[in-house]
Amino acid sequence: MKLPMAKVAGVSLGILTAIGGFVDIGDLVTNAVVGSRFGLSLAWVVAVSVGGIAVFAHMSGKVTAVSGRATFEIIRERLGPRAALANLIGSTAMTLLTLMAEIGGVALGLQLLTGVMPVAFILPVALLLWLALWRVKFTVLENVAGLMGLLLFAFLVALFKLGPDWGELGRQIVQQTPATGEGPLTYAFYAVALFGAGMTPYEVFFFSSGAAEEKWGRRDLWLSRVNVSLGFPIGGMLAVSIAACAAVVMLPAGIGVSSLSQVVAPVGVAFGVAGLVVVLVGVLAATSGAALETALSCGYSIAQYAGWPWGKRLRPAQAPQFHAILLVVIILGCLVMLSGIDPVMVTEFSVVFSAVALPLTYFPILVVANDPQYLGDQTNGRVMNFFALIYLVIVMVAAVAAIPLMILTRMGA
Amino acid sequence: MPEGLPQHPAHDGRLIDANLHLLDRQLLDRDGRPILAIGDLRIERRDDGRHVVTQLLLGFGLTARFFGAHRPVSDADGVPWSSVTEVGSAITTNLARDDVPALWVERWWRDRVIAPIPGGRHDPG
Repeated sequence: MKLPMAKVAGVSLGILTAIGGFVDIGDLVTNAVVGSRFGLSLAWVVAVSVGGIAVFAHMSGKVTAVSGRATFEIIRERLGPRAALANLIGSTAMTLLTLMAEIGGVALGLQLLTGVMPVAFILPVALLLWLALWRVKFTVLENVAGLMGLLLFAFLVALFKLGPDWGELGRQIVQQTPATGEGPLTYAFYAVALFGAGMTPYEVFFFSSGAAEEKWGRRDLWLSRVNVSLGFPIGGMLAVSIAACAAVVMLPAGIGVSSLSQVVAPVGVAFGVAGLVVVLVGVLAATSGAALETALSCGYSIAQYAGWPWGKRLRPAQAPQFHAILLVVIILGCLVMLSGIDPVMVTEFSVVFSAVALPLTYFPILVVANDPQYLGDQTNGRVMNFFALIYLVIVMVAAVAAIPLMILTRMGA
Repeated sequence: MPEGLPQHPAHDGRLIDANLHLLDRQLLDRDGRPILAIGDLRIERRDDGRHVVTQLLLGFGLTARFFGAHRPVSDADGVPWSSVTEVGSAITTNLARDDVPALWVERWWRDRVIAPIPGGRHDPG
C-alpha cells in the first residue's frame, strides 16, 4: 500500500493529543511525585487510562470521520442544551485551568534553561502562543509540538543509563500496594488523579476536532486507529519512564518530588548538562503543545455547542467567535499566571475535577458511536462496546471517588 | 408497525422526530459551513388541521427553553423550513451566509474585532 506522506505525518495528531493527556506540566510533576513516593506501583493506572482514552478517542474520531460531526455537537444533541451547557461549563473550566498551568509550565521550563524568574516569561509566552494560534497552520503546530515532545524519550534513555535494579522495578509494578509510610487513601487519590489526567475530556475534543481540521473522511478510519494505537501508548510510556526515573533516583534517597527541577534531575544524573538541555526542550515542546491543545479545545467545544464555525482550516474572519474565544482564553491564562500562582497546584486541581466531569463526556460518545444514522455500517462492534462499557464503569467510579479522596487526603499530602 | 396506532398520512415519506432529528442539530449553509445550532422550532397549524414546521429558530430563546417558556414568536430569528435541502446528522440548507439575519452576531465579531487584527482575513500561513 502506498501511503501519502501528508497522511503519515497525521500520526502526530495522536502524539500531540497524548502529550496533553500524559506528559503535560501536571502529569510531568504528578508522575515524578508518584514515582518518588510509590515507585512503579501505580504504573497500572497509566496502562488502564491508555486503553480507555484510546477506545473513546477512536470512537469520537470515527464519528467525526464518518459523519463530519464533532464531539460537542453530539453532546448537545444527546444530552439536550441544558445538561450539555452544564457539561460545557464544567469541562471548559477544567480545560482553562489546564491551559493556565501549561503557560506557567512553559515559563518554569524557560526558567530552568535560563535562570530568569518565570513571571518574566509569561507575557512573551502568551503572545507567542496566540500568534501560533492566529497564523500557523494546524498541521505545522501539530508536527512541531508533537514530534519535539518526543525528546521526552530522554527519560527512557536515562533510565537505561542509570542502570536500575530491573527486578526491583518489576516487583513495584506487580506489588500494587502503597509503599511504606503511605496510606491506602493517598494511594487511591493518586490512582484517581493519574486516571483523570490520562482521560481528560479535552483530549477527546481535541482529537475529534483535529480529525476534522485534517479533513478526515471515511477512508481515513485506519488513520484514527494508527493514531490512537501509537500516540497514546507512546504518551503512557513516557509517563511511566518519568515515574521510573524518579523511583530509581529519588525513592531510595527519600526525596519527595515537589518541583519541575526535581522531575528532570534524574536525566541530569544520567547525562549531565547536555541531557538536561535536551529534556528541557522536550518539556517546553510538551507544555506549549498542551497549551495550544487546551486553548483550541476551549474554542472547539464552545463553538460546537453554539453551532458557530470553528477551526484553523478557516480564515480567522470566517470563524470570528472561535478566534475571539482563543484570544480571551490566552489573555485569561496570561493574567492568572502573572499573579505568580503555582502552575503545578493548578493542574492538580484541574485533573481531580476533570475526573468528575468524565462520564458526561464519554457517555454521549458511546451512544452516538452505536447510532447508524451517524455511522452507517461503521457502528461499534461488540468487542468495542464491551471495553467501552467497562471503561464507563471505571470512569464513574473515579468520578464519584475523586472529590471525597481529595478532601480526605488533603490533595495527597 | 404495531396494531392500533393511527396511520401516518405520509405513506412514502420519512418519519422525522422533531426532538431527536431537528432540535439542537447543526444547521449548515449551502457551502456546508456551520450557521448555528437549531434552538427551537416554529410550528403552525394549517387550515386542514395539520401542524407543520415552518421555521427553524436559531440560537434564539435557548435561555427561555431552559425554563420551559418561549419568547414571543414575533421577534424570533430563524430560517424557513423551505430552505432545508437535507436532514442528516446535520441540517443542510440552500442559504447563503449573508442572507441569514441571525448571523449578525458573527458579522459583528468579524467586522469589529477579528478582521481588523493583521492577518485576520488571510489563510493561516
